[in-house]
Amino acid sequence: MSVPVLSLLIFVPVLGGLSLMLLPRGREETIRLGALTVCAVELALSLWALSQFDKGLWQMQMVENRPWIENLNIRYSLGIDGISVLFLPLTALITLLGVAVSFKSITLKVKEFFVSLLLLEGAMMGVFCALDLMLFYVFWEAMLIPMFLLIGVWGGPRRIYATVKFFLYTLLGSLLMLVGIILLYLKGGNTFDMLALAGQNYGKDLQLLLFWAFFAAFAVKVPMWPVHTWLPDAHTEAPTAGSVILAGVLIKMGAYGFLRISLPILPYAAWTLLTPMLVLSVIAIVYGALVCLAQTDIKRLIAYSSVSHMGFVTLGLFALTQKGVEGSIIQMLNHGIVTGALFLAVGMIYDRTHTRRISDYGGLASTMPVMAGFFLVFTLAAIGLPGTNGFIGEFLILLGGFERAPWAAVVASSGLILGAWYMLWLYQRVFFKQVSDTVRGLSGLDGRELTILLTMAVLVLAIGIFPNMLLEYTHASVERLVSDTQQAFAAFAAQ
Amino acid sequence: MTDTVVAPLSALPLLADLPALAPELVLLATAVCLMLGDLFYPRERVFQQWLTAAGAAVALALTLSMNFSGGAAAFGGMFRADGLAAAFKVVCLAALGLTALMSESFCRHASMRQGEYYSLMAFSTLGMCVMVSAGDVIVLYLGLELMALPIYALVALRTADPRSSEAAIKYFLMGSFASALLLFGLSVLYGLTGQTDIAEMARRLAVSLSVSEMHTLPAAVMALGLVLAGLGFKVAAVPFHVWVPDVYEGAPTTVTAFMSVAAKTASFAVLARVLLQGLPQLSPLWSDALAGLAVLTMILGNIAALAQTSLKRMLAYSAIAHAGYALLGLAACTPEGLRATAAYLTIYLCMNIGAFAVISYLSARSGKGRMGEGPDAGEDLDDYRGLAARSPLLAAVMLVFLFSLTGIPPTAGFMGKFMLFRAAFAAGYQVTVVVAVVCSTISAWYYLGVAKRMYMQDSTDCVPATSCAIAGETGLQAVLAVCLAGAVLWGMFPQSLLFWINVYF
Repeated sequence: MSVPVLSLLIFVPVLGGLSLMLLPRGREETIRLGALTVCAVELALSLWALSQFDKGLWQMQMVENRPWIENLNIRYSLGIDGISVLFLPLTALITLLGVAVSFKSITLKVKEFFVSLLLLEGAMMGVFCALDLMLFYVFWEAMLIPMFLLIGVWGGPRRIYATVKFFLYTLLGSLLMLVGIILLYLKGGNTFDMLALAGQNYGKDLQLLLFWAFFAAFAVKVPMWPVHTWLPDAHTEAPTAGSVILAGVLIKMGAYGFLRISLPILPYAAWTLLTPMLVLSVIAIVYGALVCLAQTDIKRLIAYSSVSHMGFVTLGLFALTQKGVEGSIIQMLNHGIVTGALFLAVGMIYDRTHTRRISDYGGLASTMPVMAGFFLVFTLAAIGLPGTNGFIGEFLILLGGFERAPWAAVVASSGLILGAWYMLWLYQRVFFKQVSDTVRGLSGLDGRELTILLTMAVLVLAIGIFPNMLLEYTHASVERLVSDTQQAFAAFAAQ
Repeated sequence: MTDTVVAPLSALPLLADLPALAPELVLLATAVCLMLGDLFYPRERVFQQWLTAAGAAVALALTLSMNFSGGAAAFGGMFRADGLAAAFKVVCLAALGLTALMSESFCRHASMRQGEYYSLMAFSTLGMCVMVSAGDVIVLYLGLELMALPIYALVALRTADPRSSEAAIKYFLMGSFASALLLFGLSVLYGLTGQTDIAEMARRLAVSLSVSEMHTLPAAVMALGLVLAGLGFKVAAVPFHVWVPDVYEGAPTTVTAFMSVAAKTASFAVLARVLLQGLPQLSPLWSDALAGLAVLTMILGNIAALAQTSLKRMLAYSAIAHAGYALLGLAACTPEGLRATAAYLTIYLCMNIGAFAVISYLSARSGKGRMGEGPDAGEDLDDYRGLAARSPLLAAVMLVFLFSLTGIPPTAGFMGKFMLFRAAFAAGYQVTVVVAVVCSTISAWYYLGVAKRMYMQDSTDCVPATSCAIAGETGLQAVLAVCLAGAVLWGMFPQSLLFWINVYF
């Protein structure tokens, strides 16, 4: 039998975290290095999985399938295809950087912090690998506990409000999804197997009902307008590592859920509700961008820009064309990298100044010139400048959008312009203008920070210039998904 | 002169049926030994908790080792040592053992008389075992009273604290009233059928319903209503719940733990038996009634818990809410539903006793409230501020129980809720399940409130809890370890629990 890579990916961080928990307090340096080692191993594992992945196949690969709870017919079944494979290295990378960036900024309850991060990583890997709905759900919910602690214990001044809001929003959505899962189980032949559930013929009304049940969980997670309000609070109050993981991986799970569950299992509902979904996406794009213009807090601004960018993701998704869906997957990855990088950079600045108010800044470029350079790269990537990774995703999404619903693409394009406006304006206010008192005499980047930012910048440019590197992974699976969905809908329409 | 044939002793029907009573006999022996032990060795107090735990463990082992294939009706059907009984009995016995182990330190703290304490608890558990196994309404009522009377006394046992006496009086008055309602309902059933045997009652009722539904049905419905009210009181279902917050808050913490798990579980078993075996003809009716009760119970329990400032009171309302979830399984009226309820109560045993163990740990560790001048340490929610900094391990354990009570995977509480929701959903109570789901979200608010205080807020007074060793700490730690293992392992490997419950029914 081959190596169970996916199980390793899930359990290496979990076991690593649990063994760190056994270390005595006070051995903080050991704990930090231990967490870093586990994350590095995890990244290596995920890259190895990536290298073993056969790009030509659309089927699930590296499948593991064992009984878990036999009485309820719940199975421990894992597998990855072109839709999920890229998220594994992304998750590993983002967590690694999250650990690295927290070396100095976290001084309180160090052990608990890194243990939470590692447990969270295991659960995130699980969500991307699970092929059984209950297993998926367990991982999905298990992410809540460490995230709740990460925001609530190590966050900013309004952390408690933010974390409870985050928890309750997500929990209500998830529980409605649980109802949907149970309903699906009863109607789909008493199985929780996503692949087996996909090919079946559910009634139209049932599909619509199920779609809304799953929508509750996924839309909150994405977050789509109007259930996005937990995001600015959570992202703003979370510690840097928490913001990076939230923006980099966690909010991708909503869109991933649509791709993995809603589209293949409920094709009729997805097609029928296409227009409302596109409308919500477009509102998110424009609304998110407009709100960004009014922000006075750097982290909050970046948080709202996520709402706008995730609007693009859902737009591409519900365009339901090859280009749109592929674009949205690429955009998810790129948004993870870019927004992650922005949060990392802001975190580094915050560690020095301890303020997030934009008006406190000014002239940072003269005290931290290297940082200014990196920040510019990330800003341009966030805007979607050609040559950076931000471009390719948005471009594909707009292409897909034009094929399906030109009006949506046209309105969405205005989001690009607004995006350039708020990002460049932010850059100008923070890095240019007169040197403010806060930024005077700040120290430059140290080696650790430089490595982190350099990694991100290299990724931004590399993906921007060679997007095919990623696209060739997703191609086969997305093609299959789109054509299957289309055929299923055509069959329904003919009825 | 005719020869009188003397039958050998073993041929007497009573003696032949005795093995079915083995766990109860062990409990009885334990209770008597405890009384005698207190009489002759009043100073050997530590010994008593281990004796109680050992008695519970032996009874538990005997229950588990019984064979349930034949339904095992003993004493002419008066006593049924069947699977249904065994599954619920195990929870009651485990609750007895765990509570006994965590009691030593708390009893010392609250200066409670320990001889009576342990024997009353053992007698109460004996009553539970009897009522769970009752095949006849007379035995059922006997068991119910044997369960309830020692608990009334247990609640009042903390003589130094006026809240304890107040709670006992309230509980006694309300409890007697509920018992009377139940008795009235049972006597109406007897009047309708002329039988006290539960299974026989069902047969007669079916006959008389088929003969003249017009005449039988109203009385049968009235009996059903009275039985539901009487037992609804015992399981703390809304609207028969009003006693719960005051009694749970006023009773000594360990007693609260005991009654919130054991008494509730036993009452659920009786409810299941009377409804499923005694009134199967009315099942559409009581199914809907239970679903309605469940909805009310979940909504009220969860919403009222939001406003509490005392953890004990909050857990009292949460106990009401959890009764609502557990009712879902009975309302489903399927074997799957009954199994889900049994599994849920087993899981509830771990998480609830665990939470109460944390409270009593904190109370015993600090001298506050010793003489009844106010609440113990650990009762107020604000006592939990900054607990994670003071005793990180205890806070982490409490966190697991809280998440389990909320029902977040991978803890056992989630698996329990999932099975209940599934059973209720399959039985057609979709809307009820949606209500349950929304209620679970509401419950997250107040459980998280405790987690928030422990991890995210600093202690208001800078008096750190004394961390010196306390008497009986070993027992408490053992309880916490067992409960933690249950709350985590059954969440990840529920197969073991389900397999075991499936063996029974």
